[in-house]
Order: sequence, then structure tokens, then C-alpha cells
Amino acid sequence: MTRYYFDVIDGLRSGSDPDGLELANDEDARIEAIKGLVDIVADSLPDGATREFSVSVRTSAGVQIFEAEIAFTSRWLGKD
Amino acid sequence: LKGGAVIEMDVKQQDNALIRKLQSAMRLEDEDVARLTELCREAAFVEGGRDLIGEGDATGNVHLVLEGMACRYKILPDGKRSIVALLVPGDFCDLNIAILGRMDHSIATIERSLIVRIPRHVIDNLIEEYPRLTRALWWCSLVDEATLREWLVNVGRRPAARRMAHFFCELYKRLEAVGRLEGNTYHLPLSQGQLADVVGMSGVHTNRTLQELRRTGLVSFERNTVSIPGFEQLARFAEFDPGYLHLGEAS
Repeated sequence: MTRYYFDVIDGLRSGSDPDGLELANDEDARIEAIKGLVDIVADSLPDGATREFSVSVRTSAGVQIFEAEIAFTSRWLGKD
Repeated sequence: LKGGAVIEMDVKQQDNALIRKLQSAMRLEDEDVARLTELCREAAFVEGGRDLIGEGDATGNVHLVLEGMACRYKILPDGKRSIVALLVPGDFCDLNIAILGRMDHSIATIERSLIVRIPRHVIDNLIEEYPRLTRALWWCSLVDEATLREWLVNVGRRPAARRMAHFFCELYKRLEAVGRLEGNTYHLPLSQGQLADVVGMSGVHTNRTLQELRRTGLVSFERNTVSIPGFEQLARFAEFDPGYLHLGEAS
């Protein structure tokens, strides 16, 4: 098991992960990052018409190995 | 309970979590208390992370947690786990097996726990000869159901921080009822992964939500200890109403 750290930007603030998670390998870290990203997006919307979310995965040596992003945009139609 | 040495316990009435819990909710006569004390006389320690009973099993024994913590869980085909109940001192693990015959989920210890194994015929005898205890067993099942309903709402409808805060509030009240609080803290032997399985969130979001709650000062969960400086404030934030636990209704 290896400890991976997941740094999150949720469109409002960015957070460096102090705790991390113990996972079997890089592939599990990739899956965890994407699941986490989707959770965070679901929990944060519908606040804001435009928001960008990202999760990046860092090893305990401080090397970033993976990043996932979701850019949310929305607009009213026919309203001035 | 293989491997666990059976120990003779003379659990004092006031330390017996089951009796404490039931007495907070209903009136028990001396003979009921004596029967429950007798029931708990043979208890065995089980190491953490062991299955007490698995899905599909039909062992005919009902398990009761006297100390420690266990959980009800289901495993999905892809290997993921969902924890659908936490069982604290005073909780029966599987009363329904006395009626239904086969388990439709599994139960495992989370940490080293003191477990009473009650043969099915003993439960049958209670039902036939102790009407107040029958009611008490029924009460336990109904409260389990009410708790499950609340978890369903919690996981399905509450946003992450409130959901987790609600879970911490519930355990606070349940442990308080059996005298297992230490000041405004309690012991919660869950790993972060298990906590994620309880609240139905990814590990990343679970960690992040814990950090957020810690920042607010409402609750912290570190080194297996939950600290709640002001329960009322946390309950307000979580929109927690303990009514569904039906504690303190003794009259």
C-alpha cells in the first residue's frame, strides 16, 4: 500500500490534502481521484453558473502523477 | 466465534449495555433484568475484522455486542462494500435470524469486541415466557429499522458535511445511552475507508469533508476519537433530531 495525496480545487478554493489515502497502486489512485472529483462536483453544484473543479494526485515524495478536471458551465437562455 | 475463548462474565447490571439501553427506553422488572444478565453470562472476545455471520448463513445463533463495535455490511459484485449499520454495545446483530432463518447480509467486528452468542432456542424461550422481554426485542428491531430509514435519507439526500455530522451525532446519542462517552468525545475505531463505506462517499471526499468539519470547529475525527465540543451546535448544523432512536422514552 502507498499513500497518495489528493489536492482539490473546487472553483472557490484550493485545498492541499494533509491526510492522504492508502491505496494499492497508481491505477487505484486514478480511480479514487475521478470518483472524488465527481462527488465534489455533485456536492458543490448548483452554486455558481461557471465553475472549474480539479483533483490532482501527489505521491508522498511530492511528485504529481495524475490530474482530472471538470469544467461546468451553464447559462439562462432568452433572458437578458 | 471460532478461536475466541469463552469467558464467564459476571457483567454487573449497570455495566451491561443492553440492560442500560433497554432501561432508558422502557420499564423492566427485576426478573427481566435477571434473565438478561443470565443471557449475557457467557461472552467471548472476537478479534477485529472477523465475520460473526455471513450472507446466506443459517447458524441459528443471535449475536449481541457487549463491548467493542461491529457492522452490518453488503459486498457488491465489484468487491465494493457498503456498511449499512454500526452495532455498538447493547445492540443485537441479527435478531431477525431467529425468525427469517438465513442472513441476507453479513456482520463483522470492527475492533476486538465482547460478543454474546445466543442460541435460537433461547430466543424462542424468551418469546414464550417473557412478554416484556419479547416487547424489548421487538423494540430493538423497530429502532434498528428506524435507524436504517434515517441512514437511507442521510446517504440519499444530505450533502456531505451535514451527512457526516449527522452520523457523528447519532453515534454520540447511542453511545451516551449506554454510558460509553468520555466527556464530549467517543472512541470510533473506523478507518477512513470504512467511514467512506458508512457515508457512501469516495475516500477523497470523505477526507475533505472531515477537514472541512474540523475547520468549522464543530467536530473532529482523529486517531479513532470523535470530539464534539458542543453537541447542540453540531446537531443544529446536521439537522439532527434524535427522535428516531427512541431513547429516553421510559415512563
